[in-house]
Amino acid sequence: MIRLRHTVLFVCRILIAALFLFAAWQKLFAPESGPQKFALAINSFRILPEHLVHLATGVIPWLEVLCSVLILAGVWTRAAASVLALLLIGFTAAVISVLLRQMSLTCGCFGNLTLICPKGVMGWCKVFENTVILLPCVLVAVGGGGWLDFDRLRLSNAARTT
Amino acid sequence: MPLVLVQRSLAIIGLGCIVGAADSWLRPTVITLKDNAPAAPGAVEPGGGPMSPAAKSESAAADPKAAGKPAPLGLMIDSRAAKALFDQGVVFLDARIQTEYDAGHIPQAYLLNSSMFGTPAADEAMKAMDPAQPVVIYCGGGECDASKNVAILLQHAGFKQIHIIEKGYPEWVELGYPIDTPQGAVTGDAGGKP
Repeated sequence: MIRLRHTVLFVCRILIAALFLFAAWQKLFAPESGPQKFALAINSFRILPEHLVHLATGVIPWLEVLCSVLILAGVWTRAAASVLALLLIGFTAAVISVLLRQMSLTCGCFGNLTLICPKGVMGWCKVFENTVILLPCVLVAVGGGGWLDFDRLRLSNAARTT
Repeated sequence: MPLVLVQRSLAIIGLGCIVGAADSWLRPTVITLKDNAPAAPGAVEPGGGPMSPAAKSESAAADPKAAGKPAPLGLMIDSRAAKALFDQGVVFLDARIQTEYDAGHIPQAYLLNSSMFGTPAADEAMKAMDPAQPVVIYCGGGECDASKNVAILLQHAGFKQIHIIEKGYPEWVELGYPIDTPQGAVTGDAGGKP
């Protein structure tokens, strides 16, 4: 049972790290001005004032990179997954706000990759998609990284020595 | 353990902010958000195209010296001015999504929304356009930011004469101008409704 748990957590770790690294790459280095496109996408939501749009454009992709690398490395895994879960909750709240205001926007969150929802205007499917991605993040944030999780290895080593 | 988790999460967020700020500072890309950012410095002149009496009187009132000459077009234009450009063969870009484009669009307009930039379809559309020539963008009108987003991306790609149809496709259709639909081309009243 513990083997299965560790395997599930390890697979979740790899999945979310790969997904968020890809998302960050799209925002930072995608052809045709990645950051510009991301800034416009955030601005289109009409939630943040201009200076915060600039801040979010700079910070969010690097947060995604940082968390993904930590999750892959198995260092501070739970904290990194918690930050990604918080980011996802924020994105989802923004999407819900757009839907309630009946605005017609495209997301562009993962560039041209479509995970669950069809390409085009954001709908409630985007909320569902984010919830699906949120699930492994919450699992790792609560349960740890599974196999090759250095936080867990360090704790067990410390317990053994005491 | 929860306290450690919170501390580590805050440390990650702090480090992310520092790295993000450093990247924004070091990266040469200038991010533009202003609606009027892609102003048209080489604003195109309608050049004898049909211009509404209302538009003529407005431009004459704004600049008496220019009375008698067609006023240069700004970033935001109405459908009548857009029709004049259409008649001159200016390239039109549809910034809406594929399904809306498929349901009906201005004839010969390329589908190009901001999420398409960097794709082969967008590259093909970009190759067909000359950055020195004017380009007209339209979307669904209203609060639709799609046209402005495309305008900013085009400006980054070197386009100088960018125009946006302020009230978008609905106004174009309302005025009876030509459109392409799945049922075939709808020519409409060339002069538009009065």
